[in-house]
Amino acid sequence: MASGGGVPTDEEQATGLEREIMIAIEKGLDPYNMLPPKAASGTKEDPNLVPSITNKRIVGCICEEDNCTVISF
Amino acid sequence: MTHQTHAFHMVNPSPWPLTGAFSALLLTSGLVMWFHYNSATLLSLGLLANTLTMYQWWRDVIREGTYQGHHTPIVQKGLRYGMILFIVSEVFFFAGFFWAFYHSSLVPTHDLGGCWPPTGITPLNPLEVPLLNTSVLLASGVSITWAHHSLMEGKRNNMNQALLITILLGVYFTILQASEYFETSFSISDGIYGSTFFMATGFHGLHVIIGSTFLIICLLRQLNFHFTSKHHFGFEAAAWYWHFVDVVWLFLYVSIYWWGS
Repeated sequence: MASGGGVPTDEEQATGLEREIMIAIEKGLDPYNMLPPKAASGTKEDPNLVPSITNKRIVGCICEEDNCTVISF
Repeated sequence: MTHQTHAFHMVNPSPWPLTGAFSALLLTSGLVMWFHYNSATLLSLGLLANTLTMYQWWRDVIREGTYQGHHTPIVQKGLRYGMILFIVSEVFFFAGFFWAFYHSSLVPTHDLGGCWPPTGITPLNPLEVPLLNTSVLLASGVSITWAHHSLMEGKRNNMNQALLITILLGVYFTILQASEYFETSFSISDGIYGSTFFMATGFHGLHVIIGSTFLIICLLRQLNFHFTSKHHFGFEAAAWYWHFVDVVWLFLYVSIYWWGS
């Protein structure tokens, strides 16, 4: 009596920001900063770049991987 | 045109929190007027305001999530945390009634006859309708799991059937429990037994009705293709709530109906 199929997929039906993010993730992109930024080696030659709309910004440090406390500075 | 560079949902201004707060005021003062002054006007207004608030607020959430795509993964995560915390708060709510029950039943006072059930109280037979009710809710837990898996596997017909079965079982429980309420030889005013019995089972029954309503909304949304095979948090929230209601019943059955007889 019951047959398979008929439920929409996100591919068919996701919309708006959810869809944008879904498509970006498929391409390996993160335009909405969902993931923590990749750490550079933190030297003068290879600094951690912090985007900002002004000339300063508060950032948070997850000092060791898997730490739950974020230290903001 | 500037837009956000984060994935969170900055909700547009909404009147529903305010109308909800007003409805809470009307409901509480309405209960006072109803209990003490035999007037149901404020209470009726409160119920109306509350229902309208819930309808419009959650309608807006559905619009924002399903139709506008604001429910990104991180937003969904927040909704999950929210539902879990809410259910935890409900667990504590019921814990209070179970505390009251055990407080009175473990050390029955002399005015009860020093025994539990108290002298003069004939409890319901746990092997009759209460046992049927247990099987009905357990079965509904199975059917809702079937519905969930069907949804994730993309099987629309199965999902619709299983969700409908779950709802019907929930309604069946409510009808059975209501008929049981008429069957009892005791009422809520029959001492501490009556109080603990009807407060605990009464609030549980209310939660069954709430859960069934939530499931019916899910069925309506499912029939309108709101849920995808990956993204269906509204359904998951309803399922969590339904399992919670089932677990509370199991505690009720074991504690009040079985041990308490």
